[in-house]
Amino acid sequence: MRRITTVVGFTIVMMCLATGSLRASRETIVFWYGATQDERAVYERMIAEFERANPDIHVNALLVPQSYIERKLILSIAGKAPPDVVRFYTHLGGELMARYGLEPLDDLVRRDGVELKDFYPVAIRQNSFRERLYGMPWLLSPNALLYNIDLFRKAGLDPRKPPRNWDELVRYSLRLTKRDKQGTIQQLGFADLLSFNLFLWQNGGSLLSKDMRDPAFDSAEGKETLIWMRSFLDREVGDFTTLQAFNSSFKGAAQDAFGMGKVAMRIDSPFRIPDLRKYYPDLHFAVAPAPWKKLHTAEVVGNSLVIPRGSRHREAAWRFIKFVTSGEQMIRVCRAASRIPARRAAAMSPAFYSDPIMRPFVDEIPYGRSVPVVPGYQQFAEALGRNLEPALKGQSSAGQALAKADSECSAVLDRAMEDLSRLPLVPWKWLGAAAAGLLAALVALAGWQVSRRTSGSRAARREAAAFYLFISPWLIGFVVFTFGASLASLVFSFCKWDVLTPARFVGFRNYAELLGQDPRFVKTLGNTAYYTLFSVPLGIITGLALSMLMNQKVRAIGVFRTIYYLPVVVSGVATVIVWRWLFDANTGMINRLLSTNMPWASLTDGLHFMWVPLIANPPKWLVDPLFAKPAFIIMSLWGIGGTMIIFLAALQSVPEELHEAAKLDGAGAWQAFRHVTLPLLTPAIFYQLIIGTIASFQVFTQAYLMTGGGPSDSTLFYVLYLYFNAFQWMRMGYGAAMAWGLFLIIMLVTLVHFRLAGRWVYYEGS
Amino acid sequence: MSKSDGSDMSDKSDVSAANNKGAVTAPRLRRALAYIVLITGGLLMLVPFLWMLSRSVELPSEVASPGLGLIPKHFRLANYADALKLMKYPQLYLYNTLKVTALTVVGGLFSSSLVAFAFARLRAPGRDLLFILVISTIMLPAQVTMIPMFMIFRGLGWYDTLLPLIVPAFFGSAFSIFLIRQFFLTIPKDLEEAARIDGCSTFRIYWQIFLPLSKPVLATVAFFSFTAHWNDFMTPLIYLNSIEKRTLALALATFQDVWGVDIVSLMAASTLVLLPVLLMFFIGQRYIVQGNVMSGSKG
Repeated sequence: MRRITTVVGFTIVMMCLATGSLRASRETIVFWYGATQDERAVYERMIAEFERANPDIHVNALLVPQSYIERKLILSIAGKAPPDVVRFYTHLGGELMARYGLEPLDDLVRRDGVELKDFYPVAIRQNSFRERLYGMPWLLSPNALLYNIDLFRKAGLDPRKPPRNWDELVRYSLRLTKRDKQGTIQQLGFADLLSFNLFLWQNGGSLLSKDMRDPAFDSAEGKETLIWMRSFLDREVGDFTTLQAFNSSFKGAAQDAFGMGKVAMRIDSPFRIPDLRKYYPDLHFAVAPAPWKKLHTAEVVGNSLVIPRGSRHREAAWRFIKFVTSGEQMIRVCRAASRIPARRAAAMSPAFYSDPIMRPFVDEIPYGRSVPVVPGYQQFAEALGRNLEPALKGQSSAGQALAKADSECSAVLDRAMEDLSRLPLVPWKWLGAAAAGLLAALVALAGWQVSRRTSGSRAARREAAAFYLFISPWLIGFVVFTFGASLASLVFSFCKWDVLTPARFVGFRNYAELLGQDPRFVKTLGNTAYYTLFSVPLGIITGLALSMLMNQKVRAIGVFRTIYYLPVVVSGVATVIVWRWLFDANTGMINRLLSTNMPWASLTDGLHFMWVPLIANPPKWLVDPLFAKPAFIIMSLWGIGGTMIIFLAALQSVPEELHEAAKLDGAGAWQAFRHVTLPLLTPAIFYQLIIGTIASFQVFTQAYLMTGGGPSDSTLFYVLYLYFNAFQWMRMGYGAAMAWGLFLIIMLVTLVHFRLAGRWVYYEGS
Repeated sequence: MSKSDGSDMSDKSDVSAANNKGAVTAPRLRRALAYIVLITGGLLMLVPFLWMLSRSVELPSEVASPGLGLIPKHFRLANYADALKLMKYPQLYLYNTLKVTALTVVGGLFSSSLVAFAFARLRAPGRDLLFILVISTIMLPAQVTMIPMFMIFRGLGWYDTLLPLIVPAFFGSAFSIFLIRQFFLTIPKDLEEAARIDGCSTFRIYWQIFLPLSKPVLATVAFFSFTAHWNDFMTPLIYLNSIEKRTLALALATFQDVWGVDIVSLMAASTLVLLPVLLMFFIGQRYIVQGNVMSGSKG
């Protein structure tokens, strides 16, 4: 019996070893991709086929959320643990190519005789920087004009003749725009009035100069384009905020403005088609080239496959890329993703070219342009959009807006392309040694101080020893994690660092720019202070009131407590969707309630009753610069459950006898609260004040997910701006300087609070 | 605070409305008023959640239908099954999430309360300076320490493991340390002095006097830590690469893309992820109001 067990055991061990060694002989490549539900099955099949054809390679495929893939990728490249292949979004990632975050592929392409001529030129262009190829083109999203056939007919327009040029586009749009009696837009002719890049290209203009070093949009073409956009906006919609409010009411898929017949014409990509077909089976629409002025142009966005710099499996990764960019695989993935293959022959296959909806998209690719691949482009785009807004709102002239945009964008490009080779590198080894020395010196100094100051009594010395022993978990964590990481960020704040190339010392330049040249430093600090000044006291007062209520012995109080804590628990993703819907200017619940009709007594000509809306013109919340911050403050009140339970816990340390005593002394409810309960709650209030202030100075997530800082920078909070600098515009050094600036401010506020605490915080134990 | 002596306490309800004439009806009125406020506020608090719930059982084609959207037109529970299927390995994610939250809550509670006790009750040179240092660790925005942290964890060989999610909690968090310290500071000194005279060690004073007296705040800290780790998807997003190591929050964030704007499945999955936390709170909330912990101890 025992022998059998041994034999079986031995066999099992051997089998495990065998499979283990088999696995070990396979090379594993890590592949990150973002994909929709329909695409996932295709990816799985594609990978299985690749592994069958290449038994020596194993693909570890990981679905990464598209909105975060860039951040994860940058961190992994900077942290020297990158994946081997990534599905890459070219419109986001010029930054990575232009800063050498990716492996160039030219030698591999040449060696294996891959014919780049088979690919569309625009696809090659968007994956190249300074004549080198950093990504293999894969899927393309050319934009074209989608138009609603039924709405065309209803307006008396011939659906076989979509608008071909700007004049026709304006004429058609005006005929297709419908308003109700109050003047509210019910149907919009053309929705994409703000696409400056596209219109500029169509008017023969260009974003950048030929050498790609300077902005070139401040030109006659640029001015003409902007003036035309403004007059179009004026005639079709009226004003900028109305358009934004209209557009933000629709959230795509089952709430798609075009699908619902609320928009008659739109510039859009092929990947929207499946949702339109799925949710609006009765929608009659067609696709045509986007109307142009001087130059037939279509914007083409693309996905490519890239190898991040530092990949340890370049050869295997390349084999995988070659496999999946073959015509056959491309067709399959493109069909699932509803995009157009980057290979011309594959795009011409019947799967796309025989489909009357897809064919016009394919025909647009030869006219395709995409955003330039230059370092600093993301910040360039942000600065351009922000500076053109006043012209579209009629607050400044087109010429002024373009000139301002030009000077800011040109500064952005100059900074991004600055030659750093003369600046000193950071001597990390020396700094690390110095930091360790500093730490050792601090510990020694502290030890000496402690022993000196407790030399008088043995008891004091033992108590001090116990103190340091008790806080040792925190001390160890601080030394191992926090100290080094914070110090590193302090060093970065004196550097220019784009995360992908080595940091270089620039002295106090970041701080000088922050204090002297960046008007948004003050602006974002103001936004943050506004938010903090309202949300913290409001939170404490409401939380206090709520906890008093929750401390009552009434029935089902546990259920109430749970309900009030519920919003704290809901995950971030869901919260954002819910709040966007609640605050929506036109269809949101808040505005519906605010504009419900209420009975109203009027005395104007004798007494009579009538129904009038509670508020005739409710605020447009998240799209109105004046009301966006208040909307965030209101949202913060939904998180009151956290504050509530802190105070509720604190209320438990209020002995009931004290209450009774106070009441017997003849104190009223208010006086009992004021003189008995409140003092005992002050430690908890003090905590909430400090922590609440720190947290709201760092408010970030909601603004990042809901408004992205807009409208007009009104919700651009300090840390959000910091994040944009550090992770989107690749100015980590500047971001670090901003962080330490904020650190100083918060520290100052906290120290003041601690200093004042003695006057009002009451600790029974001390 | 002097205790009024010898007065009869039997007539509590009357006393509670001290200088009110209609002393008998007042408590009832107050209770009714409390209910009204509680229910109105509760409804307000519930709105986002109700919307979530109603969307989660709706037909996909009806999601955008006009109306307030709080009452679903359909009741399709199969959405939940679909959402689970889309998540692929929900049990595995649940297991990982439970592992992370359980360990971080227990580890964090122990070390934070230990450190908090030292700051509240033990005298040592440099204590106040160190306390400011503790709080200062949360003043620097995490965005700029992300890359150095990443390098530290990678250097430790923790990339693509659950350790970066778990281990830091064992060193205590500034939020918890500060909060627990505030509560420890309100505990009367005479208690521990008596214990010291009886020969109690410092650790026993912490363990046998302070911890049992602080159930409300410990429960509060446990809830916060549980909620934060349950919902955190940024740390898992950065450090995890293997599908089988994912947590629920990361799976939710990932499938946001898969679902696109498929609000129905997203809301169904979000509701499912939310329920365990809610249940835990509902069961555990009574520990926050564990009676008047201090009463009687002073007498």
